[in-house]
Order: sequence, then structure tokens, then C-alpha cells
Amino acid sequence: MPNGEVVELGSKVGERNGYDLRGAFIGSEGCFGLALDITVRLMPKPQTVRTLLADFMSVDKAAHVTSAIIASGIVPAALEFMDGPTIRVVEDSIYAAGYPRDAEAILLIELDGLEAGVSADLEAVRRICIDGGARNVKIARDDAERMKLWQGRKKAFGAMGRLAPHLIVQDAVIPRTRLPEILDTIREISEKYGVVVCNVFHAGDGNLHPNIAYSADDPAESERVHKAMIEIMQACIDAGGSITGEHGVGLDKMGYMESIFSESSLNAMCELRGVFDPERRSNPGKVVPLHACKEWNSVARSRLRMTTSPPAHADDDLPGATARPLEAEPTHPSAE
Amino acid sequence: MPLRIAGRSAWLDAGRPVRAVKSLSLRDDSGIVGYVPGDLTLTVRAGTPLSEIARATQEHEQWLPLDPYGSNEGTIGATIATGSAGPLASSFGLPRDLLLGLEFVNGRGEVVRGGGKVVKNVAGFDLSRLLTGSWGTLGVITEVTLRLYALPSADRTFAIALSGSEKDIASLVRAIVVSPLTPYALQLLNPPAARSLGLGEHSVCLIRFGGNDAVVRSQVNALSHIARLEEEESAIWTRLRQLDGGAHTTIRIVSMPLRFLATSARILADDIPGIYTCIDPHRGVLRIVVGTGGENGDGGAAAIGESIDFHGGGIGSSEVIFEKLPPEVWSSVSPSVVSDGLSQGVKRAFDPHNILNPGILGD
Repeated sequence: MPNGEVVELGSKVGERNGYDLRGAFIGSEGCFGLALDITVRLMPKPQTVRTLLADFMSVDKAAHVTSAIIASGIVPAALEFMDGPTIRVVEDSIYAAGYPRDAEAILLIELDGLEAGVSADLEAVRRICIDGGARNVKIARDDAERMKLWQGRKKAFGAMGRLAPHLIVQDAVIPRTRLPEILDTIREISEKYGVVVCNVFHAGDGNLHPNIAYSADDPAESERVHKAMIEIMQACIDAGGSITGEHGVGLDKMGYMESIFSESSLNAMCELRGVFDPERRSNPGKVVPLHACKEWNSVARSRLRMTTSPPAHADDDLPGATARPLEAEPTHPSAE
Repeated sequence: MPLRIAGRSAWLDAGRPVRAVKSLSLRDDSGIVGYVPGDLTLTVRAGTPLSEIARATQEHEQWLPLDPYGSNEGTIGATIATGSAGPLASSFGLPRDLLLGLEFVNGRGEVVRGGGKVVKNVAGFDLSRLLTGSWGTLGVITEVTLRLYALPSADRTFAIALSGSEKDIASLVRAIVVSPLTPYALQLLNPPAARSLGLGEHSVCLIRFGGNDAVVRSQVNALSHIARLEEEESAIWTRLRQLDGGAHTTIRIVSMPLRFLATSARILADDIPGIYTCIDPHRGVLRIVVGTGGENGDGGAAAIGESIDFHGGGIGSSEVIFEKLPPEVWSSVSPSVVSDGLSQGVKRAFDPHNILNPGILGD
């Protein structure tokens, strides 16, 4: 805990009496204290894993096939989407995985479970892809082929480093049924600002990662890139989605919190944080905008070590995952 | 003005006595707010009974795989508030795993939302998980968004009689549990429970397979090489969940999954009228239900203590969770589960005047 006390949340057996404080702590982004040790439940490895790659000549077709797979009731272990620009960046790099360069979209799908069930699902997914207009469906024959197919997806962000010195990666979620429409909107936004948006994401969850390679040293380009990202995020919010599926809110996305949570909801979050960290010692100023906390007190405010002051921060917050360094107050007058 | 929060009042005898005369019922706050089958998510008002959710999702060949003990007329709000789960939990997760977001009214009358409506979401602190299992003490849940699944094309249930010596039973149970099967649900029932469900005179293993036709067929085939299978109607699960009705005591003991393997044969040998025991070896839960037939009238604290020692002894670390006890027994057996500093702080933050179900989790 931020006051130095060590507590145990949850139980090694997975269920316990009382409030789910463990559940509240998870995802609190360091605002409730530091996790010292963690007990997790392990799962036996699945009996069978099968991986397929379907390629498409249009993003729209791939998006519709994604919806069709979900709607069929099959729950793939993974359903990853990569668009044309991303495919070409990967194939130009040392991480080339043998993806068809001329495809406009690929779906990398993985199924796992008992052999009999996976075989049946594999055939069903292959059928859905073909019926949905896939040009080709390749099924990995062994572990080596599987690893190769995944390599391109896993190294995609790394491959983007060949295009420009910096990369901004967004993390947003939309309802799966809105996928075709959102991809269209992203394309329109990228044309509007003259930026190239690469889309690689967890299509099965509706968790998008639009990303743009650019030079942060070029102020004009930076401005266009950031504006494009803000509009993309707003489109996801408007579609009923969330501002973060995995990466968290941190400082970057605090400006969006008021678009998805009411004043009383944000205040409730502040109050919950106040139970764990009344002195605001632990990551103060993150996740929930400060002005949303009704009982903000001046003692805690003075502990802030951020470069920007709280109200202004929320206004000129530039969303996206560009790193922004924290400047600590100098500890000695001479350290300058 | 302290309030007793209720859905359809189906489970009011669970929890500690509530120090409130006035009741707030969510019975009329019912109905579907939003359902897009293609998203496999459903938003409903908290007073909606589970049966209505089942009916509405079935029309689109989907379901909410949440089957808490008790009647299907109980509300989703009560299910989430009590964090109640049933046999499907070992496969599909606990209520907290199926909940995507909720709306609640805190003790100051403020409307608060946590989570969202999409299946993947880490925005903000997790108020949904905090409210799940809080028994109405932090807020009155008014709306929930849930994750759904497609109905499986095959869904078959089988009973396996566990007869013979304790050693025979132990080895059969082990063979079933450690084989590479992935059942939707697996419950081991003692003789009184089995009898009550019309499944014969011995303790019994009830197992449910679901999924595509191929995966169900192959599992049934594999299992039939280990044991003799009697196929049952799926309605047997509903009846199992209602065995609680009329009981004065229900306790669940949670341990590591598979821990119960070593002691299950001994536990299942227990054949005292009016005491049902159900073991879920995959979830690691032993449920004890006492006083259903009225024959075993001794619901005193000492008897309960003995029962826990008998059933839970030898399984190492475990949590004993009391769901329902005779009112006068609570204070000696489990006066409070929220007396620690953090829980007290959370309660003060959400319900400073202690008007919501005061006493139900203790003080």
C-alpha cells in the first residue's frame, strides 16, 4: 500500500468472502500501490492448436468475415487482422513471414482445444473465409509454419521502424459489429490529414491498434498525426467503444475519460483511490482527471511532480502513446 | 433510512440478518436495454429475471452461461450482487468474468457507471468487479452489461453411478477428472442429493458436454470407455440448482481445483438425510446444503463446525464461505467479512450513512 503497509488481496484459492479488492486493484495502473507478489492460476496446454492465414483483396471483406466467425459461435484463441500497408511493411523487413504482398488484408486465426472439436471448427472457419471472399486460406502444417505465420504479426510494430523514426500506436475498442464501418472511417481520417495509418489488431475482440510512423521532430507532421489519432479515438467512442483495451489510461488518455464516464462515476473512482491512497503518493495525477475529484486537497496537490499543471493537462493532452518524459523537481539547488 | 435491497425476493434468506425495516425492490426495473446479437453482448435492467434473459438470447441462438443455485426467477441484479455461480462456472467463469459493465446507485443517491459495453476494456478503476459480490452494501445495481456465448450445437448430460468401495469410487473419480475432457460442468453428488434428483441410491457424477457435434461425440466416446453412462435431460441441472430450496444452511468450501480428489470418496460416502454435498473438482468447490428435508434439525453452530471439519479436513488451504445460516448462528460462526481497514474504507466511501443492506456482510 502507498503507506507502506503490506496487505493480501484475494485468495490463493481464487474465491473469498467480502469485497473483491483484488478485482479493484487489477488495472489500477499503480494508483493503489505496488504489487509485490502474485498468485495466478495455470491452465493445462490445449491438446491441439491449429493456425490459419486467410488473405483478402479488400479490408471490408476481411472485416465481414471476422464478424461471421464470431457470429458462428466459434471462439478462436486468436483472430488477428493486418491491413495492406502493414503487410507490405512487414514483408519488406527482416521479419518477412511470407504474407502475400498484394493482399489488402489478412486474418491470422488460431483455434485450440480438443482435437475433434478443433478439426471441426477449423473446417468451419475455412468455409466462412472462402464464402466471405478470401482469396486464399493457408493452414499451418506444423509448429515451424505456425511460428512463421505469427512472426509477421508479432514483429509488425518493430517493422514499422523502417519507415520513420517514431511510431504512435493507438489502443481503442469498438463493438465487433462496427468493424467494417470504423475501418472506413479510419481510412477517411488518414486521407483527410495526409497520414498513413497502418491497422494491426485483435479483430476477435474489437481491440484496434491503428498506428502511424512519422517524425516527431517535424512539428507540422506531428500535428497532423496527433489530430488524426484524436479523431480516430473519437470515432471509436462514438461507436460505443472504449478508450483502451489493454494499454491503460495513464496520463495520455485522461482527456478522454470525461467522454466516457460521468462526473459521479469519475468521482466514485477518485473515492475508491482515496481508500487505498489517501495521501496521493502512488502515481498521483494518473487515470482520473484531477478536477473530477471533489475532495481534492492541497496537501496531495503539492506532491505532484508533473510538468503540466492539472487543469491545463487535460485540455492540451495529446492522446496517443508518444512517450512524454516526467521532469522531477531538482533535489538540490545546484542540480540544474 | 436503512434499506433492504431486493430483486424479486427469491434469495432473501441468504446473508446475515439485515438491520432494515424498509425494503427497496428492483422487481419493476426490468427489461432489455440493448442487445446486438452480432456483438454477443446484452445490456439489461437489474430486475430482469434470469429466465427472461435465457428466453431473449435463445431466440438468437445465444445464451448467458451463468447458472446460480436457486430459481431462474431470481434477477440478474441479485446474481451479480451476491456473486452467485453454479455448475457452469468451472467452464465459463464466475459472474465477475461475464460482467462487462454496470450501473449502480450509491448510498448517497448518485448514479455511477463502471466498465462499459465492449468485451475488452481497461478504462478507469474496476468498479464492476468491486460491486460484484458486494451484496448490495456499496450500491444498488440498476443495470448490467453481460458477455454472451453462442448456444452449442450439441449439449448432452450424463450420470455415472459411483458405486463400490471408497477405493473404487476414488479411482473412478480420478480417472474422470484427469482425463483430457473439457466438460461444461462436472458435479459429484452424495447419495441424498442423487436420490433427490432421482439418480439412484449411490453417489453420482453428473457431467455435461457442450460444443460442436464432433467434440461432444468424441468426449462421450472417450468417457464411455472409463464408465457406464446414463444420459439425462438437461433439466436435471435446473433441479440440481434448486436443491437448496428450504435449506437453513448452505456453505461452500473453496480450495485448489483438484484438491478434493484425494478426499472426495470419503466426503461422498456421507449419507445422512437432509445433508447434500456437491463437489465441483474443476472449480475446486465443495458445497454443503443442510436442512432441506427437515429431518436433520440441528443447525446449531457446533454442528456446522463439525460438518466443515468433516468435509473440509485434509484438503489444506481453503476458504470457507457461508452463504446461508440460521439467523442466530451468524454472530458466533462468521460475524463479519468486511471488518478490515480497506473494506471499511470502501464501505464509507460508497455508503457513508450505512443505509444499504446494513449488516448483511457484517460490520
